[in-house]
Amino acid sequence: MKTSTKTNLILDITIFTAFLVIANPKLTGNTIHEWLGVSLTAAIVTHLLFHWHWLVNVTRNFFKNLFSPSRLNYVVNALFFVAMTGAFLSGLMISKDVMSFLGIQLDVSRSWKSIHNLASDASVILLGVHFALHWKWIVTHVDRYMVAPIRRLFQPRVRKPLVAIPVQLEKES
Amino acid sequence: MKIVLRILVILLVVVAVSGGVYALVENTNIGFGSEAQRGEMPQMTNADGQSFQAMGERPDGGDEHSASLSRGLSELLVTLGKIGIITIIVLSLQKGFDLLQRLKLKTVQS
Repeated sequence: MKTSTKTNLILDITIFTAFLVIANPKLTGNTIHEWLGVSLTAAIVTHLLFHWHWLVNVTRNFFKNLFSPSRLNYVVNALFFVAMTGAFLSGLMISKDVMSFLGIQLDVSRSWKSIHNLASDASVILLGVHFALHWKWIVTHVDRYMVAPIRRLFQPRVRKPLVAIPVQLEKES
Repeated sequence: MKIVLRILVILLVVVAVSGGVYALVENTNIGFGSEAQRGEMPQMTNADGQSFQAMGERPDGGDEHSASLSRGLSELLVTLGKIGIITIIVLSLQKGFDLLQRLKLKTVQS
């Protein structure tokens, strides 16, 4: 799947914003928290599809060069994926609105609540690490696609000075 | 077609991880005792030795399910702060490793 950097950036910012909102259920209330969580899964699947080639490449060559930065990146991403999956699963298990909407009633152990908290906290920590590992990319592209266009709006337009260009006229013979 | 296959692969991995987490939680005592395992409230006894339920029904209007913009925003800022601190720690660690590597290279070259 070929995507432009701009599309990638827009999706990443959307996911980050959604993550921040989901991480604070008091901001939205439980119903929005649950449904936003469900829609975030779709956004994350799209994010994984956008980076499919990197994912396949590093998975294939993981043990060839163990001590390269992309391996650390891969391990952090894998842990992040597990933490997010754990948070989604436990969230579904303790869900009140989504599951009742689907007509499913679960009788599960209460430890899912603590698993949900644990997985969410782990996700926040791993998001910080994920963020740091992609810092250069984020700073470069946020500057290029978001800060620079705004900066250009407020910059006075520099007019090119008018310069007389000498023109040589051909003599009539 | 390719994309559908990829989505299926991702979902398969999600199902595998979810299955692992489910098995781990349901087959081990993570977090709670046996009463809580069955979804019951823990039993407690009062001074007369009579048992009662500790946290019966949640009071109406409990703060867990209702939205509060001011509290939610303050918590959001706390989360942002946490992510920021972790990012700064990782970035400074990276810088530290880079400096160490450069020093090593310099000593090898000299």
